[in-house]
Amino acid sequence: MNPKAIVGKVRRNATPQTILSVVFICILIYVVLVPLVIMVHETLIVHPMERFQIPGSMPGDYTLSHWKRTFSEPSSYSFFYKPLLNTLIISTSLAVLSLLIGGVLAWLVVRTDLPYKKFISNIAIVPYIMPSWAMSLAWITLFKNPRIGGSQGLFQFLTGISLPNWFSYGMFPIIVTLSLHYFPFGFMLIAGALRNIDSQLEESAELLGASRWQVLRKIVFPIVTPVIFSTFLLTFSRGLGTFGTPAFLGGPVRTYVLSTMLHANLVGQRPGIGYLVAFVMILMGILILYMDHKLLGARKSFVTISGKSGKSELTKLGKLKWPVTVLVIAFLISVTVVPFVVLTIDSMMLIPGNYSLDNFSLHYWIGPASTSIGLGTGEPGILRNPAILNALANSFKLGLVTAVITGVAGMLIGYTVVRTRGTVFSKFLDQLAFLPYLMPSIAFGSIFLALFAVPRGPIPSLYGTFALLVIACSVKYLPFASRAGITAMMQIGPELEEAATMVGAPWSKRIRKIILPLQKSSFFSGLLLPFISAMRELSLVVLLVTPGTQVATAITLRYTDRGWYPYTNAVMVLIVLTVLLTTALSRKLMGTDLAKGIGG
Amino acid sequence: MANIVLKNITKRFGQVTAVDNFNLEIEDGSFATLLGPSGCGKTTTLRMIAGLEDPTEGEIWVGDQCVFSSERGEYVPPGKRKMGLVFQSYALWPHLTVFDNIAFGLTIAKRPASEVKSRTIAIAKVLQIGDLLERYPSELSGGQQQRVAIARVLVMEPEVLLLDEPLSNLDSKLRMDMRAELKRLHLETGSTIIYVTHDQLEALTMSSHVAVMDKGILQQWAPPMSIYSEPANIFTADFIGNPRINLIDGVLVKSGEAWEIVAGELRLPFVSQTGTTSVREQKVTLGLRAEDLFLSREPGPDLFEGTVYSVLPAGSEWYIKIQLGEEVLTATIYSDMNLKIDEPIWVGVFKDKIKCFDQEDKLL
Repeated sequence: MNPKAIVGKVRRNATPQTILSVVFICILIYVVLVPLVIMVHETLIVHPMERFQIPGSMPGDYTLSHWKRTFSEPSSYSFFYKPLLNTLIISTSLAVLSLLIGGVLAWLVVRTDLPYKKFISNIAIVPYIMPSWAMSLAWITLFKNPRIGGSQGLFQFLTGISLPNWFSYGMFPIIVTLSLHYFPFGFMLIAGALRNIDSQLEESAELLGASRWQVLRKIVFPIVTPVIFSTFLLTFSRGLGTFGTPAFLGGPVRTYVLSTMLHANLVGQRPGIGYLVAFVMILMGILILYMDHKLLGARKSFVTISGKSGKSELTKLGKLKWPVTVLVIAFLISVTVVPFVVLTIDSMMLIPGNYSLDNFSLHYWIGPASTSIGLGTGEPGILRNPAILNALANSFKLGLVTAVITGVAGMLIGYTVVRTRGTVFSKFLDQLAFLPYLMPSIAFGSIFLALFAVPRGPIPSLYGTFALLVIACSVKYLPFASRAGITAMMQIGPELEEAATMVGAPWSKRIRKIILPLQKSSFFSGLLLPFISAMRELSLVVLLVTPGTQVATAITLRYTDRGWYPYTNAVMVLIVLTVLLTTALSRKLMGTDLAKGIGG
Repeated sequence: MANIVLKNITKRFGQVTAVDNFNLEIEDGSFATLLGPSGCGKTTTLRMIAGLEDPTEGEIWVGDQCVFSSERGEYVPPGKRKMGLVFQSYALWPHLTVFDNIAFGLTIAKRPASEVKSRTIAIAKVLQIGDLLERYPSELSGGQQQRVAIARVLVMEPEVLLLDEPLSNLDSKLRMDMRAELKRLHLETGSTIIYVTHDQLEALTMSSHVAVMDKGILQQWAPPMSIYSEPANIFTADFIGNPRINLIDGVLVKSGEAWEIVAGELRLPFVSQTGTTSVREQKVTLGLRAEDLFLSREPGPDLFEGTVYSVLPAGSEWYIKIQLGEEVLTATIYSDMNLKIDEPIWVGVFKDKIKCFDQEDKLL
């Protein structure tokens, strides 16, 4: 080819979408792939505080001692294998339980004549909107026993029964509370799949003489199997990365999982091991993505393709109708309203453990700093505590900024991926933007710690800055936004833009006058999920916050460490309120349907 | 105004060749149709002419201006080619009113507001959508959307009007009406029209020239009636015409001084459609259009005996399937012969209409 032809080709291919895709790929490589390399490097060197653990080493020396300690020394069991086992048990049980609860609920709502369906669907996603460890705080408040320090819980106050340790702390409550947080996930995905099954598939089976149960077993189950697998894997991977719940419920009885182990090592004396644990967690996350993709990628299609869904006949619950209804609603109330009320009540009890009316006080909300009232912490009530108000404001700001950044980035990525479809760029960008989804949150946080703790090239050290939190959250929630962006862009045929090209509208005009107006509503409704996620995030930011950039969720952790539960609970009530109000507001104003965004 | 010339256009998507060494010269002011089955490369060709797609190789000329050349790196962007494209899906902007849809291009071109308004209203009148200007596309019927799409393009006064299957989303009655209107529009505007369709009837009724395409390769480029009567190859013969042409494998043999085609039960004199003189003995494919067959209840000279296989009345005509030896032929008749299935029947052929394709798939 002659030079002129090459120049012409390059110039024509340098369309805005190709340039954008290259830019995004570069950024994502820097914030997603490069840190992985840095992380591996961190597991191979001696950190300053590790100098004395490894005799004769200097900081920065290369060493295999972290790897040995983690994988092949007697101490490995408590450092790694035991937490790994715990993690696997928790994630598996969590995934199974969420599937069961979510699946049954989905079937009831979509396929039976259960009443109040709308109400039930709405309230069923509330546990997912609340921070995952709100549930664990409520659990502790309800069921804690005085044996492991502190006061009695509400349950013991009311009944006089002191619960055994295994019920109050450790694996059992971790699994239960996490399942109660993640079952909405299973509910929404399976309900979506059930709704999308073409009713003709079932009708033709019925016409051939299959009974209701046979239809369910032979037609419906096989069709939703891929979704069930997929939900299982996604919930499982969430279980891997979660930090707050095992920290609150496992800490007191020294039950460690990978995430708490990672945190303890990273902020403690053994960052090398912390990074190694993070690396293992990320590998597990990527393995899950790969499994999801390979095992189910092809089969998945037959659920999503059949958009034509006639109304299939609802199974009559008959005599069971009202008992089931009461059961479902009671269950949903006990996982939404009850925890919230429990936390609220606890935050208003002056002496912890005494839930009588004369102990009622707003001291932890609006009281002055005092060393003699209540817990005598010397901290003012949370509404008078500038540090907490500041942290709340930070959380809100973090949610807002993250939402806008991911929203814009997600839309642009959606545009780029769809418009360059069929090229390597498109595929690569799509996958790269989805990668953070499966990186366990706390490990992802440690990636950013590794990446931004020191200045690299033109980028200064961002540790201790608000920007670091924003970047971490934005990248972590990008998968939601980019998936939403891709879906939204798919609905805008390329001809709409080409028609403008034909009359000579340049790219900027096409974006401004055609794409943006058409994307407006999906853009705004896409802001909600990242906002909520960032507001309630703990696992991701726990390693990145500093006193100057404290966020509300991380502050609760500090109070819990000191046993100051009323403060923790009060802050938690505020976080939950903010999140719920925002959700309700955006639903009212923009008709946002959260269920649409979570599917991933 | 000028001719449009495609020189050695090739378009590859990865390993797939969508358009293969395509050459075409479309005369100024003509109504040219790209016709072919789906996936034949016709829409890709149209998009390359519009500038929305770049050929992998080749050149595109509009008059004496080269708008694309892979060799010399020339490229004129779509907005500067003075072409208008009506999309198959219409591609009306759903968030803009009919008025704003039509006025969009003029606004982009920064025409004064008064001119935008008067031109938009004028073109809307021509297309009889003057009273719909305040509506949104979703509030229009398919036919109305179609008119808006055309108005949006015409208001820019393009020299070349490109239409990508514009009628395929309309019901059959509306499609008939729009065909007539498009043909009038062509005469009134005097612009060159390049029209893409897979519907042979549309191609035959509207075009001044038809390019038949298959698998990215140009099969024939000729006025519609000569495509019908002198199809260049078997594909064209088979693709055009309803019912489909009868194709029978046979041989061309010398019989005394004359040449004869022997195919199945048939034995027909060879008459060249192209005036070729180089005839030799070889395997051939015989092509007989249904209306070039006639039926008789009585035997006679040059008639071949068969049986009635099936009778398909179609209103003004009847399609009769006849079993003739191994073959089933289709014949069109224009009066009801009241034929019964399995009844014996004699088939005759109008000899000057016989089409005969040689081994290289060429019409002899």
